[in-house]
Amino acid sequence: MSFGLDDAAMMTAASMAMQALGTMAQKSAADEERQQRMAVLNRGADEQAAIAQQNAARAAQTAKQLDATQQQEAQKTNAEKLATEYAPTQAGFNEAGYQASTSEAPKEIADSMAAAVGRALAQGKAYAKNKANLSALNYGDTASNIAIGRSASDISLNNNRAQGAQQVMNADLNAIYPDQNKMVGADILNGIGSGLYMYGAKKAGQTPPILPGGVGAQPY
Amino acid sequence: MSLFDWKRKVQWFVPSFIGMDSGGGGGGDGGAAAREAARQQKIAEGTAAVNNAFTGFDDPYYGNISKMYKDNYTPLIQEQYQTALRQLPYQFANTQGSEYQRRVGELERDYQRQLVDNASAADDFANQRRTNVENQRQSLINQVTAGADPGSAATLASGAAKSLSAQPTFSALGDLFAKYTGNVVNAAGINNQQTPGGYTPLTFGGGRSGAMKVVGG
Repeated sequence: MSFGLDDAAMMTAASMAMQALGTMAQKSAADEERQQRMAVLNRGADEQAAIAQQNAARAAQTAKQLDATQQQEAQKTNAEKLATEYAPTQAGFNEAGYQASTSEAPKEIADSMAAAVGRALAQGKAYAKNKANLSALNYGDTASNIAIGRSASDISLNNNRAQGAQQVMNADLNAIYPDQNKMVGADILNGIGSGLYMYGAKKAGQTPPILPGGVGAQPY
Repeated sequence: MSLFDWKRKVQWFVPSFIGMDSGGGGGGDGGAAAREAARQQKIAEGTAAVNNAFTGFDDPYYGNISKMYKDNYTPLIQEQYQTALRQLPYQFANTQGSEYQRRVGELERDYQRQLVDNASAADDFANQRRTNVENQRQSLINQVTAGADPGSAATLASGAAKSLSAQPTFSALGDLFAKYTGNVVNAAGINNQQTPGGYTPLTFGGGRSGAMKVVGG
């Protein structure tokens, strides 16, 4: 089966076919390696994006908790609750006891004493209201700090996961290498192709030109 | 050598080329993913152990802390107030004077403020405890993230929770109404002295009758 070609031409054709197959094998191995790397990179990018999205959602949740309007409403509610809790309900001073012990005193004296104690109670209530406002601020600060701390902790855990995922991706990338069967096969095919080329050239009594890579540079 | 023989020999070297299947390439998974999954699992278990140990620190717990604070200090404030109220008349010639009334009003006002301050301080105390507990929890979670295994994390968290659950200690209460109880002897002495002519008494309303009456309940 010579297709009308002489031996040298047949050898050259076979050589070229072998070289072409070798090149195809190399390209196939390189493509596969590239695809594997791309798959790992894409998977890593997806994972990092998902983690970043989770972090953003967590931060948004905290921001909602710390929203100024919401904070003000919570503070107002707390202040009202605390003002009720703190407000004095009765005097420590026993007016009845005073009146009984000063029975000879004019009514004006007893009334004046009752008024003094009443004023003190009113001052205590006003003080309770102011103090409740301050305490409500303290409550708000504590709640905000805890919310921020927990958010930071959750995001830190997520970032730790992101670092781990990055390390896995790097390890996976390092573990990817070209298909060795294909690479060895390509080398063998290239070698056979070069050999056939040389053999054909020798058979034709010609000095083979130097092939790329220096093949044929030495006397055959 | 037939073409078939050649093919067979070549196939031994390049099976993947003939079948175009991957045989000798690196798949990319060197076990790192499994190791990382195991690490994350440990972190999740450790975090859960810490959070589980801290579940008792809820709003009712802090409410109780605040109540304990108030229960401790309120009777002490009341005692000091009653003492001040009992001693206050000794500073006056009689208890029907406006100065005495004013002073009782001030004592009452300060007493109410002390009670309010005490209630507020109780809440602050509970909030401080809340902050401490949260800091401990965060610290333990940081340790878990840094590599503490779930077992150690659970042990540490349990110890921390136990320590934080200990009864709070309260310091002694200072003298809150000293300005109402001071100089009792001096005041009484002055009131009992014979007043020189033209001298305006320390208090007014009762003169120098010395008719003091202990009031208050």
